[in-house]
Amino acid sequence: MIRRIVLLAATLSTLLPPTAHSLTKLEGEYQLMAEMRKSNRAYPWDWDSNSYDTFNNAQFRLFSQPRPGVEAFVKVESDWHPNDNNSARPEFQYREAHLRFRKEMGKRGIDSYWFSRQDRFWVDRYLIPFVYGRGDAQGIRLETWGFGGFNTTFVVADQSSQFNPADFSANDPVISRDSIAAQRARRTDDMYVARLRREFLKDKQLRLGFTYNRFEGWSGRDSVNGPSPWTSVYGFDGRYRFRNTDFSLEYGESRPTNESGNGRANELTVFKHSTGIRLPDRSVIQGEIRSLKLGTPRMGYINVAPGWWSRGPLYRNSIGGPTSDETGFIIQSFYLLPERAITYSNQLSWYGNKVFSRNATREMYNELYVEFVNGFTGKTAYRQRDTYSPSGGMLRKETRLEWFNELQVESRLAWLRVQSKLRDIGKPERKQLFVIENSLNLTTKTKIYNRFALGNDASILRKGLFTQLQYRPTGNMEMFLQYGPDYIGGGSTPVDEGNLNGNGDQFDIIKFILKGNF
Amino acid sequence: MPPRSIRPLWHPLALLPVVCAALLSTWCAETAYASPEKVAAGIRFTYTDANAATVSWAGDFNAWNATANPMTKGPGGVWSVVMALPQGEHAYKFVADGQWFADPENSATSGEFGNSVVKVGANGALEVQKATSNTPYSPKIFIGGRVIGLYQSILNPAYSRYELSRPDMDIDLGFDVRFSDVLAGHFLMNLNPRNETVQDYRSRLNFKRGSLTLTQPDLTIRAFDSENIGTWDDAMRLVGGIGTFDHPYGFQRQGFQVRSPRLGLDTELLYTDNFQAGGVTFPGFSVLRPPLPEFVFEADPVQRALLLLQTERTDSGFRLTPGQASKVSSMDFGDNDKSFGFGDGNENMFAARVRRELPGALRLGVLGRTDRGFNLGQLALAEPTGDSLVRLRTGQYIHQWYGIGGEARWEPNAAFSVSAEGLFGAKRMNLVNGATDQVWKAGTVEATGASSLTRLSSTLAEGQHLTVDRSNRLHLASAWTFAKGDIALRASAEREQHRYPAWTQSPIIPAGLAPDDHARVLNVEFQRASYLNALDDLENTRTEFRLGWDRNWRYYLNREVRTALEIELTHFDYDARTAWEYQMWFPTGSFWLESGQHVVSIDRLSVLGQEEVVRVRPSLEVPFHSARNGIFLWKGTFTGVHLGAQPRYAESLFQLGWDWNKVIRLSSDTRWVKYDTPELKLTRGYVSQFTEATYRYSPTIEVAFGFGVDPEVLDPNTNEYGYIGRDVYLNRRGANGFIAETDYLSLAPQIAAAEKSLMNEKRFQLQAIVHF
Repeated sequence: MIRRIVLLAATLSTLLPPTAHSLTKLEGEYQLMAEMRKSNRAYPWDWDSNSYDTFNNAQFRLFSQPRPGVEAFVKVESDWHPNDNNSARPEFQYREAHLRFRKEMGKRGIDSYWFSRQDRFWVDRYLIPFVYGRGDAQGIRLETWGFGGFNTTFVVADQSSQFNPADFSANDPVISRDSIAAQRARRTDDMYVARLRREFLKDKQLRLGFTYNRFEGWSGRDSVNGPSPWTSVYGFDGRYRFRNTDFSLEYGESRPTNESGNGRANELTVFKHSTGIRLPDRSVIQGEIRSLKLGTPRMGYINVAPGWWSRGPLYRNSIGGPTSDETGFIIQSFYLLPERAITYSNQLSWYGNKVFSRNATREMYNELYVEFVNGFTGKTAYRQRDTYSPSGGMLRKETRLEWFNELQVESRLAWLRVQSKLRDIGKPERKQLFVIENSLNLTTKTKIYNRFALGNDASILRKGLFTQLQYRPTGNMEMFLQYGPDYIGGGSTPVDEGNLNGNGDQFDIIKFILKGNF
Repeated sequence: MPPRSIRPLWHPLALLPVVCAALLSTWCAETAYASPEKVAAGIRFTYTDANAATVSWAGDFNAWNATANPMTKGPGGVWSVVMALPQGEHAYKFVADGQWFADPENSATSGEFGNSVVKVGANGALEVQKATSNTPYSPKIFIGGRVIGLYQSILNPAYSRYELSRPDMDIDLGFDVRFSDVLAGHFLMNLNPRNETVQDYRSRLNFKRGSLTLTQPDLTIRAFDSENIGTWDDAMRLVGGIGTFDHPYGFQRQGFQVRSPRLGLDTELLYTDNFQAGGVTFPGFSVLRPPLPEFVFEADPVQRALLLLQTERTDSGFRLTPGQASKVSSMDFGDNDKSFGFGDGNENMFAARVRRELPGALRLGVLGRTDRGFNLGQLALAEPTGDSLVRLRTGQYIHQWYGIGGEARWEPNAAFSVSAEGLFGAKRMNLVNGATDQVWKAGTVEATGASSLTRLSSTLAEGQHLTVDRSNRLHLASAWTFAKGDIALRASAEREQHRYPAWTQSPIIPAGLAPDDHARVLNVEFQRASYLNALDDLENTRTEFRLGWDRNWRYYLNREVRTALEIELTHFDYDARTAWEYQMWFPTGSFWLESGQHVVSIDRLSVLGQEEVVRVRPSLEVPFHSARNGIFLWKGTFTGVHLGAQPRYAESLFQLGWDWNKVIRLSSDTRWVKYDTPELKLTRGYVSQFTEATYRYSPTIEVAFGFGVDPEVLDPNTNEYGYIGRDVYLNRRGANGFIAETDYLSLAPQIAAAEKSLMNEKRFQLQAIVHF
């Protein structure tokens, strides 16, 4: 410990790293956005760069590798956003950071992240998402591989961003900012994850895994006066491969703060048929076969992947999924027409509650995807969704129909996509959505992008016209000059965007965006 | 909806993107890098710029001719040239399309233009030079820093489970900038969400400290902002050595430091501004101001001061008692502290010293310091000047203290030295801002006091001052090292004397308030009292003897076994009228201490108020298993009131450490303490243990796993590690000098609770420290 004092003080005072030229990189980006809106049929000369629709940021990233296997990363950003950076001039605020220690020893290795404000909760999963992102947190993630054939992941984290120490006012007569009680309150929202996985048999035919997570919640401003609620989950997963067909089965069970009441109402059913087997109410189970291949080379093959699940009514998972009180199945299949670039897909699913209600849903989805000559592709899909809900002692059935079409073509010079969707066919709230998008490469650095979206329902016809001139003179900068609301129809499937609703309609706005990175 | 026009797209402002693109294109060119290298024909230089039309090498070798040595373009836009450079140092740059660039991959530069430098050895090979840059963005900047990740899981006894504490991520980002060969800059930024007590995403990249240093052969000027500028090495350390953690001076201060050896004089001038009122160097404690409704205000302090005057019977009736004073004064706070008051509350300090080496290994020097502008306040001080006449000085004041003295040191050889230092100074209240000196006459003087008071005159008293403390300090010391440095002896004696006018002492209970401790604490800065014999000074002294002995037993034991013993005997002589907070370990009682600071370490809490204090500090250091760097260390602190009597505070620290292998070090640190303090009713012993395994990637990168309260933590003031972890833990739980000064009656339970908490704390921690 004495050594630490001497060495660290010495190096801090001079800031000289141990090697003369350790790798330290500074990177960053800057974006300027200004907009002008039409008012009273004229564009007032008033470019606005500080509204809620603009995002002007300067980002600064530091990346250092003081020695192989060790990495430090810090990101700060200044953006002019009244909610988050409410000062006379924007300040550089903390975004994220991590330290990384990695060591590889042949086929074995250890990798650890000491992270802050990052979402590093990802663990490998297949059917049941026992763990998924919890948003930014601070903690340590440790991964190992090759030790005893195991792949392991451990995460310990604290989501303290929920807690604002400033809430503990210095004048608070009960709990002061520096009090021990406040210190305890900071020990909140702890998350623990452990994942083990190992392959067995020849060609790794069998894979077994175990996942554990525990979440300790935050009960309020002060955790002194009441215990924090907690939840833990144990999950097991297995996959066996037989002639290119995977048989997967996963099972998990949760333990909440109050462990009483784990009954056996969670009956196993197979396609809605009772089996008489009852699992704990806090358990979930899911299985799948992927996939059964039927057919001949001449007739083509149909691939079928059936899946099934059952979830107990008392299952809880605070760091992942799935939901509770549900049983269901899904059959996914697709067929490739021989010697034709045509794919037919079908998905049939049914799921419903088991204990707490009788709601159920049945869905049938059919899709035909065709690749034409000269770069044209087309897709048409039809979906029928039936929902069953109890009403007045009876089950009420409601059917919703949806038809989707898309035609797309791309060449070196231009790109065109047309989409349409008829939603809630036959219903009073039916709606027709159309989007036409195209882009034209004027030069190698200049492009024009246009989008026209229409949403027609019984009350109003909503429109969205968006045009954007794009200029990319180098690989690290781009400049846009655009007209129209960019969020209407934005996204990979424009007709799925729900922003042709309510106030989502065309308005006159000109926006200029310039961004560069270094 | 009317049809929309596309005309606005062609508004003149549409040209802005093009202009911006042109400007941006000047800085977005990407480059790749390759260091200069020795080849058969000389030194090969490369510069990568795929878009450049011409690139050439220019330097002092070719008289900075930008066309004499063109470079050849190769694959990937890599330009190269081989220069047959002779032995010696060569500065150069690349000229790409007429623009001059330092070599991005050469970390050594010199001169105000940041020219790249290579040094060619006798055999024509390149010699390694000290890097002045580690980033291709500028040859004048060296980027470095430190990232600390600290993750603690602490047992919550209420639920018998370990809970993850809010992890700490402390990030230092520093820049050493070489402006030119004579001007260097240092800037450090820090990011730590916990320090800011805000949600993480609102925490900022804060400027932590910085300095500019101009270095000439006979002059060094340093402008600094919260930088460590050290502690003066005079015996009484007039500047620095702050608080119980012995902080150097400079933190939380902005200022200038000028040093010069001209005329054979070693001269140093220091001027600083304390931008945090009261001075906050850890562990500094700002006065906890109670909510305003609980604070006692004087609606009319002048009348109150006059009415507090006492009377006495005479042959003809009553008169104002002569030699008395009545005082109504209040601590005030500056506007920056968001409270009532005036001024910015910032303290300025000026210090200077001049020393000269004389023949005969004698060094003489003079030194002085003054601090001004702390403890702003308002005063009404009434003193009878006749049977019914009163002199009253009232208005706002600022505190100021000054000290001046000389030092001498005789060091005939490196093994022996004698030094002496004498300082005298005073602390005073300077009247400012329209303060007045008034004469009042009492119309009626009765047994209960004076009444019918009328003001006869009033004159401005700005510039007048009232001395509230006069102090002399004398220090004598000697050190002797012999037996080839194996034995060192030190001895010193110091006497510190203070004289305070009686009226400076705060009343035991503020007049008019209920006599309970709560009111006293809340109003510790509030004084309202009358004093008889007010001009009789109180005289307090501190006399201290220190003896030190260091011994290295390598001659006998064939290894570096060290022992040491420090004995400190302190005698206080307090006037019986002295208020509690005027003890000389509190800043109230000794202006020589940094304002807002005290020197009441944990052990001294047990002997406050005593006339005699003895502190004995033995230590033993035993190395073992040299191949594994094994070390055993024992440090004791025994503090009591008499030599030979049972100590009131007995502490032993046991440290053990050894290398498990080349990269892992195991260490153990145990603290055992026993209190035997009747005044505080503390008689218990406490033990705390910290165990740690440290994995060292390199001398500046380590990961440690520990259990217990880490005795080495980041010092909140310096942001560097210090062996203060347990002290910080106890201080934050109320075992500290501030509580001792202001709330002594609750000190004992706070110490007991803090020590118990330290003993029972069960804490796992993982800590990673990476310097880059």
